[in-house]
Amino acid sequence: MERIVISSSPPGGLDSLVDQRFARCSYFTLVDVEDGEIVNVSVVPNQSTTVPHGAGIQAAQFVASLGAQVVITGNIGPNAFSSLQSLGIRVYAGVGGISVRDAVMKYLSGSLSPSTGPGRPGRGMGMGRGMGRGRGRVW
Amino acid sequence: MWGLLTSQPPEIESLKIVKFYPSEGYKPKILAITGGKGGTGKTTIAVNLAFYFSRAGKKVLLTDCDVDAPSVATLLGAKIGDGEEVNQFLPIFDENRCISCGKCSEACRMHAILQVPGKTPLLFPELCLGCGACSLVCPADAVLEGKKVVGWIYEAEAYGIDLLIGELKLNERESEAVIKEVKEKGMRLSEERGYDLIIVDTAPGAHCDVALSLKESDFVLAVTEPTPFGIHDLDLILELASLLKLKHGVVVNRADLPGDHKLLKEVCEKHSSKLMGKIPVDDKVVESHVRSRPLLLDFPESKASRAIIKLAKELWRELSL
Repeated sequence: MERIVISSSPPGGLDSLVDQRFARCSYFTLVDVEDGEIVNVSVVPNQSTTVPHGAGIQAAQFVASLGAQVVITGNIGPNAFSSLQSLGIRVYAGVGGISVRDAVMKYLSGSLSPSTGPGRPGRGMGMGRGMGRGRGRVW
Repeated sequence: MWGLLTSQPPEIESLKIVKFYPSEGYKPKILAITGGKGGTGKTTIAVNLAFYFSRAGKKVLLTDCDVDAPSVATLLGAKIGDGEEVNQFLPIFDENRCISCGKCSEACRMHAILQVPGKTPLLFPELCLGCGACSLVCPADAVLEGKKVVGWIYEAEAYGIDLLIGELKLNERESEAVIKEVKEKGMRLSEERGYDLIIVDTAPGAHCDVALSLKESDFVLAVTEPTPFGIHDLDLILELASLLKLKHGVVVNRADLPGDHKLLKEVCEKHSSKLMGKIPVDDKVVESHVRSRPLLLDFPESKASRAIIKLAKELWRELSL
């Protein structure tokens, strides 16, 4: 079994949109998959939405404590990205404008490629498209 | 003239006071120059007051506590050397002692510490404010004391005035750490050299950096201008000085700018602050800036100089120098 955590717009869950922000998204949807099938879904509110500093690190620590092995999100900042990497969590960024369900399906079908670098810090809103396709763009 | 007393004139060195021995209860007077609004002329007035008091025979230390953008040295054309580093605590995690409990990461209010399960914590140094909470909560004594440079303090001298200048490193946040060092060093130097007066030039605004700069002063001089912006910020800074229970007064710089003098007076009255002088607009001030020399030295007869001298005499009485 593999646990995927997806940054999600309210109310969270498979039918919500993927939130463009990682560290300051509203909810995390936890999706457990096994043999290419979704076996379990739960929603957890993000605790880092309003912290003044270090949201990326805190959010990374939080999803790690939820047992995440994979994170799917829109844009991701440098601190969040390096934290997730250090925690051994694979990051698929640059996913936007689609539902959590579609994002998971894309992941399962192998059409997402892992990110090799962060996007802009603290600029998640409205960003994220076209990022994380292995081009390693930093700014 | 020495020839009249001895055949050999004494060495000049032996005439110099090498060390000052403070008498019982010695304490220099501290005058803080602030104002709320930026660009009202705080540093110009601080520099020229320092020059006046120094020429009047007082031993003066001028400290620049506007550590984000120090300008005292520039205004006086003073050369500054390498400076002394201001350091801040930065944790170093001892991997041999660390038990990976994650308590440090939980305690860090800046979220600068990432606890990777089973590993030594990972620090994001640019977020660390050096509070040391991590070392307090660590049950394994694994947080060692490291440091990072957050700024510098420079000592200099110009026209007989000793200068102490604080500078915050670009992109660092803790101005207060630098200001604290400047103030402590000022007091240490004072014990050695016996200043009569320490003048503190503060940053604009009424935030914690300014509050820290004002603390312990005997008198706070707020430099303002008669514009709505100037008056608004004067209200704030006088409120702050009152909160800190400090004596304060106001000087209106560029007093002939169009503005609301009635409202300005009302703000002074509201805070029981004394209006101590008005300095007129004077091109000579700009010229003195361009020359990087005190206005009082090059243009002692200018309108602005005369007003500053009047203000200095008023402050002399206020501080009982």
